[in-house]
Amino acid sequence: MVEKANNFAIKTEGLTKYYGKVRGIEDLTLEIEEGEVFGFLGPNGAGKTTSIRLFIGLLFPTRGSGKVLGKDIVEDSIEIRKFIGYIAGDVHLYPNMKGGELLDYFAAFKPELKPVLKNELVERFNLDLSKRVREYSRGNRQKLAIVLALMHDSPLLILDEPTLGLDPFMQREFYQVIKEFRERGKTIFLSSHIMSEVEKACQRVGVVQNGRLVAIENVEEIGQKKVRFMEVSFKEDVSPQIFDLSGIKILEHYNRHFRLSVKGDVNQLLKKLSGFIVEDLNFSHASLEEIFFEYYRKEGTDESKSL
Amino acid sequence: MNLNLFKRTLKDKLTATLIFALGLLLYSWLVMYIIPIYPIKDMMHLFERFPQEFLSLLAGGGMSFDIIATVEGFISMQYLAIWWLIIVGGYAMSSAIGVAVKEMEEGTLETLLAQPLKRSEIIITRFVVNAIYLASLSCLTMGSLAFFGRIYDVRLSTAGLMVTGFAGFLFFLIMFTFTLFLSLILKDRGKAVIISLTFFVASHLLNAFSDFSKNIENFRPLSIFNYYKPHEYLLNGKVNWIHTSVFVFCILFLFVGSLVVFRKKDISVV
Repeated sequence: MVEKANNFAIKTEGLTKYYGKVRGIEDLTLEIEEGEVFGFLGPNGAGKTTSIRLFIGLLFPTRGSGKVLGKDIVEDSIEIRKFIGYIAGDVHLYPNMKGGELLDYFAAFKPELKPVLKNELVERFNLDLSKRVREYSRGNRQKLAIVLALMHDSPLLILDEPTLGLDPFMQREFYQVIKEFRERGKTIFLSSHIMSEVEKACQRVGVVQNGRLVAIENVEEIGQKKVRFMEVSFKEDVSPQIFDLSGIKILEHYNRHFRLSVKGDVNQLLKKLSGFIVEDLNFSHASLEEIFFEYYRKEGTDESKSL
Repeated sequence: MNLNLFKRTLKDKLTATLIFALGLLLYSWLVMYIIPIYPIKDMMHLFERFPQEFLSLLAGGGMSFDIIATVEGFISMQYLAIWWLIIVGGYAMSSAIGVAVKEMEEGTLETLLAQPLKRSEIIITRFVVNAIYLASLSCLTMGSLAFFGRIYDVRLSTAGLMVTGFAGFLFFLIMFTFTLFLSLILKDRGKAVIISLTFFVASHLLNAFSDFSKNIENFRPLSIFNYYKPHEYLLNGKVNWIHTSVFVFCILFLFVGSLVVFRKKDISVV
């Protein structure tokens, strides 16, 4: 059975990978608890895939250390791989194998865990296993990779951009499956560059940027940061200076229409607006994705790190 | 060794191996068919007009005209010294890049290595499968020469065929492990094949032209072809232990080197 040190499914300390002089990931220090669904967010090239490949022993760290399921990522990667389900960021499967043949072939590498969810997942993702992999569409190949990673009901799932190529219906089904894994107490490490994906599934999110982990946030807390967006159209000409208020920022302005981001108390803004004839008003909370983009817009500033 | 991977690799390589096997059968048939039709004595008149260097290129170095005039020498020159090595060697080299680097370039190695498989298991298992197929192709070649020899009344000693098959098998394993080792270092199948080809062609030229230059002859022991003499094995039917030792040493060195290189190689789609 897998040992678990301090209930951390993944724990890294200063994990660093350089490809020659090229930076992969730097000083990644991370603690992910058992049963947690953790989102790993960042733009392409930020170091997400490098980190994942380090976790499962495909890459060797330049320095630093890490443990997955209580096992060392360098010394015990075979043991680690017995108990994880993994979806690569760029799925490559054997083109000449049939779908069913491929699942059976990979299942045989893990005699410790039976593919108990295979039939259920094949049905839920509506996969035709009689076709050869080369005949599958991009989306169907991704579905096959999902079944491959999830069919053993592994205690830890490491998923790198898992919904790439899936249609919205299948994306919804995928997140339903992830929710069920979460309810069964499985740990999930979900890497993505799409905030809304992480928002749906994760409890905490780590933001990686230029090879460094720049923030770890609780998803609920990000949502409670009270960032709102307001769209307001006036019936008369209004000077942008009226919005020179604390926490208000003009994002877009054309003719008599303004799009604003609003942080903190909205009352002073509403008082200001009451002095003008408003034609239309739309007021909404920012999605995590919008907050995320706002964060990247301020890359490198102190303000950004306080997200 | 991993049984699941072993069965899969065996299956994946079967079709290509059967095609090569068919080619070898046809070639053996052709060579054995020619001998009674065009008596070797008649052919020697033709060969006498060929430049010596050209004959050396076909027969390898160190083969005298008297030996070429024997059935064993003729079969060696027309088939086993070069053409057999080119056909099965090509198979061995393409198989070697299929062990890991082809999959590394195509990205499937990442999927395979995400399974609880030791890297050494991949190399060892695929080495064993390829060794089985190379041994089969060597046996088939010798078996077909014996078979067609009986049909066309060309007598070859069984011991000679067995020793030649064994030497050929070891030579193919050298070609396999050399290309494997290079491919793992370079992580590039194209470069690995080109460098391997260049090495074996240069090695053959060194051996072939050593007969004509004292300066070059000093370097002949460096050529791997210096340790492969099919006409000698066919004629005397005895294992040359010096040749065998050199082959086994090279195979072990390259195989262990491949394991060491692959053990610490970063795997990502190139």
